[in-house]
Amino acid sequence: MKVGALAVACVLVAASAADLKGHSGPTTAEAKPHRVAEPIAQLPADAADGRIVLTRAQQRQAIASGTVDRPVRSLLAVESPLRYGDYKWNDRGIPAGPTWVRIDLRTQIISVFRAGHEIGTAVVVYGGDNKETPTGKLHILGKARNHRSSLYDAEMPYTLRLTNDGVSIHGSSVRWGAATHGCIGVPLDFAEHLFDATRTGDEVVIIPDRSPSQRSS
Amino acid sequence: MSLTAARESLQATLLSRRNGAIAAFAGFAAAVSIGVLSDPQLASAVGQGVHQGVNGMKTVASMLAGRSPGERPKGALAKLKQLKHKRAAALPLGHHVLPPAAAVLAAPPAIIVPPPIAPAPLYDVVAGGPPIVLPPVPILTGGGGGGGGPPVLPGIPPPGGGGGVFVPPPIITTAVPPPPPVTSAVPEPASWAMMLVGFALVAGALRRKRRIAVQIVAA
Repeated sequence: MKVGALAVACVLVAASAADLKGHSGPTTAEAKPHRVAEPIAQLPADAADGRIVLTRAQQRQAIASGTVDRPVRSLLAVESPLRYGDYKWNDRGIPAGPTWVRIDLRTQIISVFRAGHEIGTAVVVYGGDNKETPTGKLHILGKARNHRSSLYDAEMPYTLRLTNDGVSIHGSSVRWGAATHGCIGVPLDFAEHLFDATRTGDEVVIIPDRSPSQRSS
Repeated sequence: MSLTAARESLQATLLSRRNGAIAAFAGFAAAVSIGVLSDPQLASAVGQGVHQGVNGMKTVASMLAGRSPGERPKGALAKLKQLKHKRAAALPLGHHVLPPAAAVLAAPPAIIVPPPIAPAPLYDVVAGGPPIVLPPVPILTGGGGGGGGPPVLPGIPPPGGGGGVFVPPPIITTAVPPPPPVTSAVPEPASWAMMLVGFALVAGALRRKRRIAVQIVAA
């Protein structure tokens, strides 16, 4: 009797663990990170407008310096520093391809890349000193267009969930001096573009605002 | 709140903050530039446009950093949101739970008007302003017939009056009526413990009863 009950309990635990794994990690075919696309020889003339096409030397230097970990072909042309709440989005003529997001906490800048070309950038807000934003390579675990946080009793539109404990990218009021509880806040219109451009499983690289030694001190 | 409402709210917040911060922006820009100049990468990017590499090439890092509004200042962080329970704890006593708007509308009026027995109004309400509240004075009016005597002590009918009516002082409350106590859907540990103790007592009583019955049968 006891052995039977133990066996049933083991089966239940194993089933729930498999279910959790299926939801939390990019293990499904759709959730798998995309393979880096092959270099694109030339952009259409209209697509090159408003962007800076990088030379091969610039691409190599960017990877060698650790600025990016994969080839980047072009960046959006941003003439002057963005203000809080500003963003740029231009995916005109950019072909479909693997999409990834780079967030630099120190400069408070997010960049969205598709097929090796930057299609969007904005100023972000991030976690405060006591609620630090997780860094490193993360994946989009889930999407919710009209999310409302039950924990903070607040609207979090266009949520892209990054961790199982709720850290996400979502539309927010991006203003000077603001901090979050660990989420990445982006301008609302930018969040809508980002929500439509990304899929579950897409990679998000978050670069820390300071070194680990500075964080521990 | 719908998505459209959330969007409008955020945009309005942004606009108002942007307009309000124009005056402070010049000072802030100076502070940021001081902070940024201490950082070589940002200084090269923000302060002088874009950084030129060793061979005159703009690096990707400098181009990305050139868009930055600067590093976030230390120690001047404003929280965007607060946890629900922290927000409730921050409220003053007596205001922890505000009733919903519908409940406030359905609640009885805040000012209780005394019955028309009182000969003259005790207070006037100024239109558009706060009510002027007079100190509460118990009113003892003599009913007809006996000719009510003068008030002697509060709460004691006047002697010989017969039919004197005691009118309590008006109760004036300006705050929202106190909310009903919040009952949790999940029993507290104490409730669980009490329930378990109860079950244990019942079980013990049953066992005892059965044992006594067995003894009687055996006897």
